Amino acid sequence: MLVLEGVDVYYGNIKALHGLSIKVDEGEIVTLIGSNGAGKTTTLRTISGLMSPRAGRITFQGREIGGERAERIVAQGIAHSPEGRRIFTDLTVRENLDMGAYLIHDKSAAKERLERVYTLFPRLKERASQSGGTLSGGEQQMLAIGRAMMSRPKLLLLDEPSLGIAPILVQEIFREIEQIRREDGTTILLVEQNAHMALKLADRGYVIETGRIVHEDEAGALLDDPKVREAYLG
Amino acid sequence: MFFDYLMNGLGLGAIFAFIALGYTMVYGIIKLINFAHGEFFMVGAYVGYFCLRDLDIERVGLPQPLPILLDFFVALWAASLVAGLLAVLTERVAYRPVRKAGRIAALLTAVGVSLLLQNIAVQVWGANPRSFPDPRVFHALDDLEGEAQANYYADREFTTTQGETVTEAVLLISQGDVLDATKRASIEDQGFDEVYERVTLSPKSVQYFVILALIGWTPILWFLVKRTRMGKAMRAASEDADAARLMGININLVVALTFFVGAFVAGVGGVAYIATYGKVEPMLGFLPGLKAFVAAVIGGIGSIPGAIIGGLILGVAEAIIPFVLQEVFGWEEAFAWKDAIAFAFLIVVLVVKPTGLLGKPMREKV
Repeated sequence: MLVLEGVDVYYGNIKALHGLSIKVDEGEIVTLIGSNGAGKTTTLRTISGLMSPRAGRITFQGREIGGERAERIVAQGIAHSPEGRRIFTDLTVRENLDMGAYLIHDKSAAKERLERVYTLFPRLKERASQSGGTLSGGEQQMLAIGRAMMSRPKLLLLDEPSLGIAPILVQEIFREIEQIRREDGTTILLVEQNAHMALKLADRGYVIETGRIVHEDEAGALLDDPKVREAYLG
Repeated sequence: MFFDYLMNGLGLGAIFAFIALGYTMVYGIIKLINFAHGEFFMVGAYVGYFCLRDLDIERVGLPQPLPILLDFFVALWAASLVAGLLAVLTERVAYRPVRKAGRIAALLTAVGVSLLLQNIAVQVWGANPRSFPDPRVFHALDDLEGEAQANYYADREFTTTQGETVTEAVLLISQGDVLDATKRASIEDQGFDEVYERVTLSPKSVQYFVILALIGWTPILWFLVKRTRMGKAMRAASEDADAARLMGININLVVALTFFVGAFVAGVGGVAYIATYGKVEPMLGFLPGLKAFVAAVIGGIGSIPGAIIGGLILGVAEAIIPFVLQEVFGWEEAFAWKDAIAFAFLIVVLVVKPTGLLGKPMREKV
């Protein structure tokens, strides 16, 4: 479904991704694990069009999307729940979700999406008229994922959904990610520092170090790999 | 007396508010202090001037006050559309290319655009102020009568459809005034083929209109920003442009629209200005523009209600503070210091509340 081949990405003159190649098949949950600054977030930002690759190819459903504008890429079915949640704190929860459905012009379809997201995250319905900034960290994360789900994406990019959230809510959010894959049939690319949780949820995993993929395998095999255990699972 | 000054202040403040809205909206979305914004106001004032001078809707023969209202209606739309389109063009040509180059580059570009537009206005419309009613065309009636009178007349020639050349006298009469029969006769005696009366709004009734216009515009803007899809996109983009793009929001479109709406409203302010003060000149945008910026900062830059409140407060302060200083404290020159007073007021507000009255505290990026 999504294929990155030999992708180079730079911040100014600093090379952040070195010939990165990954692929995600339809219906999979794939995780990208690695330490801080390894290039996980950059990879997602490049897929969703916030950054442009200087070399390499990115194809989604057989179509080249590398370097396309972010607002065009989301229209093709890739939704990105970014690092740090990045919800609109001045907008209400409901308005945040409306923004997620910005490209859905059919009102009844948008309403259907809203009902679906409320079913996934009932708390968002309770807090619909509150401004996003008043939510707790875990609720904001739910809002970020719910907002991304509003566009009915084929591929969902999740950046650090466990970051800065109470452990009990992390469990809940990971269950909901699993539910999104199972019930909506959404393919998921998950970036996590919490490698243990990510690998337990995912089908396959990639290990990224300083902008290069150093290891890839079934998620279960990575969990048992002594080198991965030592570096990322403590 | 005090009430007159209060009304003057509110009328002036409403004009500041109309300009401040554009400052604050543009700042909210791309964090640019658009120094050329005063020039959009100036262009709006010129367009309003030409409309009010040349439209002559009275000729159609509708009952008063329909013709005056139509004059203003057309002037407002024309001025706002021209100002709005100019702003969109400016954004596309000058600001968009430097948007990623940092805020200093954008600020310098804005100063450059401001000077450019002023100088284009000098080239196109001349450096001399123009007045409405134009004293070179409309002679005050007291020239004839030797007594003070707020009415004006003009003589001019025009060619009828039958090809005859006719001279006519146009009498400008403030609304509510009745032209004295002997005065009218004194003009008719000068041998014009036709004499016709054109009613204009008195500055005082203009002030009421300006304040009403602001009251009318406030819910429209509120609805636009709070309730429409585009308004929500504007607020989303102003908070986090990258996150907005991830929603599929086209930032360029949202920014262009913000410039359009901001300058559209400044165009309303421009018409209000020419109707109240009766004078336009190419440098017109500078001082009101600067003060509207002050008003936006007083209200809390980025806040739409803040711009309206800041504008009104500044206008009233500029009218009332010198009035009080003069009448109560006997400082005769107080009115000469009104600009200094406006800026001193800004300093006081910023010392007491650095984010402005309705501004949000600066959030540190987390």
